[in-house]
Amino acid sequence: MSPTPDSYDPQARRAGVRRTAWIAAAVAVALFVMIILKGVLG
Amino acid sequence: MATHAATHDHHDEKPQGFLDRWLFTTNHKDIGTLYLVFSFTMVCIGAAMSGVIRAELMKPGLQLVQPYFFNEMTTMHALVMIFGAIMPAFVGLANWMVPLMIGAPDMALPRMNNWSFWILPFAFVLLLSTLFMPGGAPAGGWTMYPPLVLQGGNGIAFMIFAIHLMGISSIMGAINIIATILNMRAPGMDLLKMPVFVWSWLITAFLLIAVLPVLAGAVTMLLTDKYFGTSFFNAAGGGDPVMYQHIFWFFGHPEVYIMILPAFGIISEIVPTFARKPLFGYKAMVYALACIAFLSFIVWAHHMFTVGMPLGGELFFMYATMLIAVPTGVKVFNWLTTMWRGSLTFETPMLWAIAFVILFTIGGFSGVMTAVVPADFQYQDTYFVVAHFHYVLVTGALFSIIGAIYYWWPKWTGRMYNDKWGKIHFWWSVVFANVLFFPQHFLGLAGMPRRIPDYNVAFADFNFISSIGAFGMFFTPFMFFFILWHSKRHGAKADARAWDGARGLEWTVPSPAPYHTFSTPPLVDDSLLAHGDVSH
Amino acid sequence: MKFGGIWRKAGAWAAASALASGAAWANPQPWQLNLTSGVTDTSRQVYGLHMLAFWVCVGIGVVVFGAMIVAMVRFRKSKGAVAETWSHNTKLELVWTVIPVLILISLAWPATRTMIRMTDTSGADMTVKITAYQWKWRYDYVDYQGKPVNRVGFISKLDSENDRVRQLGSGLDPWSLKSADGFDDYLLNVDHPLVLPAGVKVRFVITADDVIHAWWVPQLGWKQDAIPGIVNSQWTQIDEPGIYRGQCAELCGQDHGFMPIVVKAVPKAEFEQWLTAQEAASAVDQAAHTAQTNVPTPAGRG
Repeated sequence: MSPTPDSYDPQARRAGVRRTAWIAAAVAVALFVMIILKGVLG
Repeated sequence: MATHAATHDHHDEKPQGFLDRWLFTTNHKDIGTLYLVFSFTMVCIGAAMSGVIRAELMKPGLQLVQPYFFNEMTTMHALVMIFGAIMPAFVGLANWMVPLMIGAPDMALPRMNNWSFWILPFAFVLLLSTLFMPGGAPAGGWTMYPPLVLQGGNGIAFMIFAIHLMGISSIMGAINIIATILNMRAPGMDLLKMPVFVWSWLITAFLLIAVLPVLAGAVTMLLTDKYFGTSFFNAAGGGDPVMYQHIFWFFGHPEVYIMILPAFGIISEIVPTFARKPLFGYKAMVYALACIAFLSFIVWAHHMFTVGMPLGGELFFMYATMLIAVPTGVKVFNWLTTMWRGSLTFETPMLWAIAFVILFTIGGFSGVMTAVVPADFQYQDTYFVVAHFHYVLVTGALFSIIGAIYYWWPKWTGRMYNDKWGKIHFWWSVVFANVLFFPQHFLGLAGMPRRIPDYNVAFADFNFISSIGAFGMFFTPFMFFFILWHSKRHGAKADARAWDGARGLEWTVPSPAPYHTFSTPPLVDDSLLAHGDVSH
Repeated sequence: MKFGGIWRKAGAWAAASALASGAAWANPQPWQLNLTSGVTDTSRQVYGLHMLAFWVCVGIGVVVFGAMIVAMVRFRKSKGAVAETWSHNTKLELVWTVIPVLILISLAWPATRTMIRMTDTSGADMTVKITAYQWKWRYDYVDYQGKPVNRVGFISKLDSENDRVRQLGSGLDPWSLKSADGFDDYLLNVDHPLVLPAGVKVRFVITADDVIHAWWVPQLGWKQDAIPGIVNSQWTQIDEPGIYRGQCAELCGQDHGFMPIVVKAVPKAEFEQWLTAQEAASAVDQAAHTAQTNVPTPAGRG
């Protein structure tokens, strides 16, 4: 996730991809839950 | 991922069987193609619906359809065009071009990529099947405002599930794009050296992840209100129908930018190519994109100026909305300056790009006008607004997509198309799109509300003209299809660098692009990037 | 068939050119190109803001599109233009960031002033409650000059002649319907118009009973959503007696296009007469109703 990609190491890439994808997915789920909570709490 | 890279290193051939090639594909190029074909199908369906709408509106009096069916058409036209045509087309372009532009061998998550696409046809079968159900398709407008939408039949449940599926598809697509751009760039491809199209999609993907869960939440609450006795939005049960609108537009406004930021990216690729001059103000372009994306989260209530917000709210949303004009203006001025003192040629993609800049700006002008709250008390929910968002979405987003296809088609297929026919397609579209949408400004100002199947006779003349424009536009998808089909069969061979002014990594691979590209990372040469010298 | 009558068109174009001078009409006109300035102070301010925003856009458009055309003519490769290589100019970019900000401030300032004025519903001499239903309006006169009005209220909906013509396949001509003053009132006429006094500040409280609607008469310069469970307020002060027409502006179901609004503004004295007559009539009705329900025999029921 560095601004300058320095390596083309597949291992490092896979770790980076996984991290990014899980964070993004978690954010999406959290937002969904928050909106429902907003509805429940008014 | 791991297995993918391993298995495909053995051979460079496409899978042979039809199902293997298309249903089980994990190849970003094939999936990009699938998205674009799907989007084209949806454009045709959505256009047929707008044909029904404009045919009924051609003359005062009801001639063809019942008012309820008319409402089904306006609702479905919007849902199909937004979620089925414009968004998948941009995702398809991203799938094709992002890995090629950053020097990656494929998307970061190829199997999820397959899944993102193949959810979509099921979602739209669900949505379109409601047309044949007792009780009919959803007819409460694409904004699905309660309580009206809850009066619909069980088609509503199908619509909501379809939206959930589209949302899941888009979120997975967005995750994939972010993971790809952040992790898969070739060495030397710094963030601030990426093509603007890649930047625009990175920012768009963040918007998608931020707002689609919000839409999913809103429609889930509609679902429980309809079937499970909750009262989120039911005033009689202590709920608040206006809260739905706030939630919906908190999704809805960024959604508008989801449909226009990738267009900005495309134009920023095409204009420098045919001006043979580096993109002017690369960094300003990137910052303007980010700035527009940020502002899109704090302007949602400008869709709701007439719901009766407190004065402070009205003023805040007016000021914030007006601010968006500043970064948007920067983009328009920068495209203009890119052309200034260039060496211009006007091949088909350039024509679409120039039409985009002019006509999108006209849509932007009516956008600034609608930001002025007291004036919006007149414009709101009239044909003026219909004209405004069709200028932005048809002559804006759609024109940019067509321009992008004409621009990258030689790279995809290895063949040129007939430039003369491309230009006929262009001029035909420009003329009829304006005949279709420009008179709608007048109708709105004269007092014609939107979403009505019939109108006072004073509105007859401009409606007639607008319908003629619609019938003209109806030919354009077929024209486009024929031009591309002819090119695929008989087109001249394209060079690797199909346009002599084209810059960027995608033009360093052969045309057509091989099934697997950049299996070993390319060397990034700064002077060959579209925006030239970025050291300042 | 009436569509395309050459005289009508000629007249319409003449009217359209009159529009450029900001002439005000009570009704939409064929070939109308612009908002009208309306019949209230508010609507004239709104019209002014609209024209200000419009001319600002025209001004920017002339500069931007003009420069584009110049670029397209002068810097063609076919004319031997050679591309420069520069790609940024901080001073220039600063200029076209700052100038739009200044222009927007000059738009936002008068808009804010008008907005503050529009939201001030205090000092009204009269209150009318508007309730929206699918697909009709109910008007209740709440108070007038500080005194409560005694049970004056009625339903206002598309008149029956219009309702016949607008049916699918009715075969009837939308141009056949004309109001008393010769206006083609297809879909813009109701059975009972809302009667208001001219020159009096009227406060509206607006709500809905089923789904969301919006009450809009363009000549008054605003529209306001009518939302179940929520009461919105707005106000107007109409200068001139006249008939002012509008429609529901928020999608409200199948007959959304068929719930017009007609405001009949009359001189104050005439309005007071009308209001007294309505109060008297409703008192008689009320008495009759009470008497009727007190009669024990079912024969008494109509």
